Amino acid sequence: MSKPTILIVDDEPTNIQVLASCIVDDYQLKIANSGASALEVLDKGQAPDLILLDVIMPEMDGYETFKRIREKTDHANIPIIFISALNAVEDEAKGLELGASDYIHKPFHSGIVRARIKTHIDLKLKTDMLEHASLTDFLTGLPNRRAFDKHLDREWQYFRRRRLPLSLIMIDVDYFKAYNDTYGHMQGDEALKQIGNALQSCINRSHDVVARYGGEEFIAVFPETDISAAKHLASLFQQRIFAANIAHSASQVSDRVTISCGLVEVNDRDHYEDYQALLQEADEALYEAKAKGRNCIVSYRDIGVTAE
Amino acid sequence: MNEHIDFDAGIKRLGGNKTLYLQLLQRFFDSTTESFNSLKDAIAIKDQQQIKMLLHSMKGASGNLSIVTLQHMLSNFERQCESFSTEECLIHVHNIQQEIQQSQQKYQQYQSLDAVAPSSLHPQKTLIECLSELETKLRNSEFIAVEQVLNLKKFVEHHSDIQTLITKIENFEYALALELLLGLKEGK
Ligand SMILES: [Mg+2]
Repeated sequence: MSKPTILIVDDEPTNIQVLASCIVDDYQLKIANSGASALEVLDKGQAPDLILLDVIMPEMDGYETFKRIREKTDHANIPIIFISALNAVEDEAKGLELGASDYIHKPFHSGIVRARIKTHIDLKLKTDMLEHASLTDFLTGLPNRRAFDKHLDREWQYFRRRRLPLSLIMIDVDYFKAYNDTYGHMQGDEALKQIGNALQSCINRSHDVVARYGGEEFIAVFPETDISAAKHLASLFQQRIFAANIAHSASQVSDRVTISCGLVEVNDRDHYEDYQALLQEADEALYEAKAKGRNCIVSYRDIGVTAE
Repeated sequence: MNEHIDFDAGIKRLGGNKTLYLQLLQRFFDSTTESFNSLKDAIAIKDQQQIKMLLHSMKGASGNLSIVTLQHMLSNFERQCESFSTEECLIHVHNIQQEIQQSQQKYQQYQSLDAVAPSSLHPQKTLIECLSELETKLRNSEFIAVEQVLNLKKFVEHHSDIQTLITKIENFEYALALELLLGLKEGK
């Protein structure tokens, strides 16, 4: 495991040197010599696990920097420790009231600095682990419904700014109840794992996500992807599941496990209130795919066309 | 009794790294002339905020380096500077500068007692190798330890810009340092 990362923000080079020398063996260190450059460091690259923030700095002081960091959702959870030679109790209280994790005084006592930092880093790593666990489906290792909703929310905001097409695919395993009845729940869980792996193997871009949505239902979102590309992706899902070759004697459409897919695309001509409507339409398309005999792909926009 | 500088406490704060400690002390003393020029300017135009900022900054640095008497004087000055007249401020500045001289003498005595440990130079590294290593670190805003710029010092005779680069890195002015470094690489 790589070392946790700490960002040190201080306008005084000597303080950076002294602080860094206390902790350089245990952590990866990043440096910013002003509030503004701290925000720049945070904007590029991976977020640090902890920020040590000097209070008194010219131009943007530590309190202001703190507020600006907290304004960004991606950085809202990074613990921040204020470091200052201010000795008034009110200053310490002000930092803690803002939501700082701790307050360390200059001149440093290296033992205390190390111990306090370790406490907060340990807590952060534990929180990260719990957060990860709460967003992961235990069985398949895919993101769970909660994680998917969070991700979709972000992609939806992105779509509203950029107006580039976004596609959703809702996926249901065909005759899965019959599968469980035939092979038992243990085997059913095993099949879901294999299905999850097969679906995940189709995902290549970092913003594309496939998740377990519940039971035998999966869902995938593809930003910057129009309906024709989404149809290709859905058929890739089908091919990979077919290739996984999970025997299913109780299926009425194949000798092995298959899936049905409901597709929906939103583009700059559409006016959706929110993504709930989109989920609803993907669900309707999936319902239609099952009604048409399963093991097929239906796009929401095509439902009306065939009905006419 | 440790007058002026508490060497033991300073070294302990740096995890026992005496070489680094002596380097940092040297740099602190080197930088005080400039700090005091700024301070006198600020006093002349009665820029209270700037006076406080400069005193606070020097106080923090001297505290962290265990330059104890100086830290104490700066701390008192910082607390009272708003109620002082320009003349009183200048008297304080004068006293503090004298204290710095004494601390500096103390530092020189201490240093001469102690043969400076050989630095960890990598003679096989070329200038381009050193610069490339630093470039990556600067781009990622990674901490660059004093020891790491020592490698560059042997090139200073041939390229005077290298000293400027070293100073920028030692002051953690990474954006400027990166600009300068890229210019040096171009010029090669
Ligand atoms: Mg400061």
